[in-house]
Amino acid sequence: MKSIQPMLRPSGIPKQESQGLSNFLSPCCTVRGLLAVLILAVCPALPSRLAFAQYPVAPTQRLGNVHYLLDSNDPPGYVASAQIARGARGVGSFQPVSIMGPAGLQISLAAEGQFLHSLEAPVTTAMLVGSVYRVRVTNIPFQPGQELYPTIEVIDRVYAPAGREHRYPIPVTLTDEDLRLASQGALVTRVIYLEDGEVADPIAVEPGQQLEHNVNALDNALQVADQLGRPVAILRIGSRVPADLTADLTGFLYGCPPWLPLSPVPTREALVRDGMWPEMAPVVAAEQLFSQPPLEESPRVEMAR
Amino acid sequence: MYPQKLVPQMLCMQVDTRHRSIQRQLKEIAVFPQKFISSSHRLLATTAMSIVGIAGCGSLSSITGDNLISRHSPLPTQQLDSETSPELAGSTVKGANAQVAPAAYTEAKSETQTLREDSPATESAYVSAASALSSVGLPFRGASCNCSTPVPMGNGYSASGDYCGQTCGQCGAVCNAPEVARNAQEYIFDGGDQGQHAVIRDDWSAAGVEPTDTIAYYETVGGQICVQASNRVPIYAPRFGSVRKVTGLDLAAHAVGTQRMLAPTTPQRFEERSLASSLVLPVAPAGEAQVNLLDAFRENKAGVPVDQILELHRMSEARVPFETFDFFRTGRLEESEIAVLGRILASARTWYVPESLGVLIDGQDVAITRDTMLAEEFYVYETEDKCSLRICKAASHTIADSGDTVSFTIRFDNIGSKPLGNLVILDSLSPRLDYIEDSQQCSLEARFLATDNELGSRRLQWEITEVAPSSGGVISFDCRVR
Repeated sequence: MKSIQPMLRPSGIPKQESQGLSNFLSPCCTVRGLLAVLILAVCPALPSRLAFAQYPVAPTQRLGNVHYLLDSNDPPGYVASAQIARGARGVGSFQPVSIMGPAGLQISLAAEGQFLHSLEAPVTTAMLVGSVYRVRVTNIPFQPGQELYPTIEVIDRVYAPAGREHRYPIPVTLTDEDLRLASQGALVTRVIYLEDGEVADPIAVEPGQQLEHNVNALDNALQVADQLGRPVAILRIGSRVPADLTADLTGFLYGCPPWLPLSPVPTREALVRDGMWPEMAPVVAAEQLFSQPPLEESPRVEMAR
Repeated sequence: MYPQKLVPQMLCMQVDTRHRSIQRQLKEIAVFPQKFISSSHRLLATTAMSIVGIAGCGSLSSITGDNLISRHSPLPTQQLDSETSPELAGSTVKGANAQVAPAAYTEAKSETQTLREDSPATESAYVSAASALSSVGLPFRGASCNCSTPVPMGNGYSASGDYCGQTCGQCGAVCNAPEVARNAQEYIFDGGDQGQHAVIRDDWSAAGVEPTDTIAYYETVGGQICVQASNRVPIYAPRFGSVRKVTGLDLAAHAVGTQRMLAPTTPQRFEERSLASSLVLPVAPAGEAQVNLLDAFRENKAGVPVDQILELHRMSEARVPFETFDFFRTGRLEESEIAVLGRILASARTWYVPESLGVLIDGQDVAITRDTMLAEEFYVYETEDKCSLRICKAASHTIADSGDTVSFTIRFDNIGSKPLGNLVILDSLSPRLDYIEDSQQCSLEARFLATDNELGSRRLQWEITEVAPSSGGVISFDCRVR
């Protein structure tokens, strides 16, 4: 999947309301700060240039008076547990999630402590909000025999119109670069967020295309995603593998939460080809130029014959 | 003079064009049985809400969502398969006349969109997933449980459909308090006046028009400057992004420490509050000028343009002779008919209303004088200028994906009795909407400008010199969803 680099948000446009995770404050933040002070106090030999290293500036606008307790470096399930603890909306409901990847990629979901048969990507399922799912990825391009076990943490849901929930799944994309980096020992954390339509980046994207931001290793990807919209899922791709695939993998699978199979949404062309949808003439209003004012007799849209 | 026939016919023309596509689809639906029809009802509540949102302004408030839903359930195929669009408009709107054309236009477009976007194959798959989940005793709040399925309320908030404190039949969940959720991120809004209200400067430019705002400002005959915002149109078009971070043993080369430590700040000094050294008394008014208020006035508020041509097919020419004149058909009084009209009016009154008495002297109607007293005083009241512009906005889609083309229509009417001038209609688009160049059109002569707004989208502006009373116009343009 092609990724594009969006523009930075213009300054002076404040976000209207901090959403979701940024409102989650607790006294634990103070405990963390004290711990950091204690560590510095008991480690006087730490070089000063490391102890007072300058933090890089986040690429987006920072919100004032918001302390982000949650971090994308937290282990899988930490953010979801925080969502459950604070009684966030959508916890306990099923949210369609679509796992996509390069052509030929095989995805295995888990049920009852074991991985099931592989399915070719994209795989669309309904996952429980507030749970962590581990999937097995095989048939990685240019890496025969390599297996990866990424995790998907669903932390929020999408409020599609009634009856259209399956048309708007959360897109979880496994790119070639992410899979290659994970195979080389890196940990790729990708926070998927729902963009705020009021302050969205004015960039045209194609259907299926996804905006992508890259942050440094010291930045909080969850914070950046929260400033750009509403985080809905966290994808972590590492090189961790189970010790014994034949053993009980319930712990490795984070309790093996339930999921629901969903059929992929067929395109309109496929429906027309299968005779399940009437073939209609395309609307050519967008391609027409209106250089003259319309007359009473002239139709606005010329239907193709 | 504004041609009053233009606006309704333009709208009906659009309805006709769309209606042909609906007819083509319905012919196909006749071939493919109930699956299209049943699936098309799912969105009627959503589309009805958008229509109700339009109906909230002006005289279109006679449309109600209940009427729409109840009339379309079950879908009257014969009714939709009828020939003309006025029948489609008249079937859904109370008091059908020419001004209901926007509602019919929106409804026809919504029907088209509903029929296009539904996919019956996946509907069944999703419903089967819901039933499979309910069989294992887990709540499924995606599609089958209405109590937690939010309904967009048009302003970015969504509310659950059934917050009655009862137990939902399908999911077993208890719906307690009304759940008002903020899911504005998933919608593209256009219209209204959000944030700071628009202010008109001396150079006739507007300030405070943020992206997604749509306003119209104009000047009345008395010099009053009025600002009117349109309704807000929501389009469900979520767009996802991702923030990626790559970490590893070779990448984490920096140790993380505290950046700085802040010592608690204590006050340096205290200042005593000094007492006031002087006292200024408020100045009392020297006198009062009595303002005479209006004791009575009659507002001459005209309605929206209505085509007055009536077909005289219900009565014969012999019984109602005065209806054969053009004055009754079109409302226009021809000079050649004035003499004959006066005579026939008097005669017809005696013929047609048997209970009344008519007096004729040499074939002329007698004028009745009721009072011989002359007026002694005349009072002339200047009534206040009123802002009398109605502006409504509608979108062709309620759901859209990236790359789709959405058509917007703005209908504005001067519903007052005085003309208004220097009308400027501003539409600052959302950053998710990309205006398609040269796609705009206006039924009135207008000067069009398109500039960039603060968020990288376009700001469309139409300048119209004058709008006569009881007239209006239609603006439409196309946008591509980013």
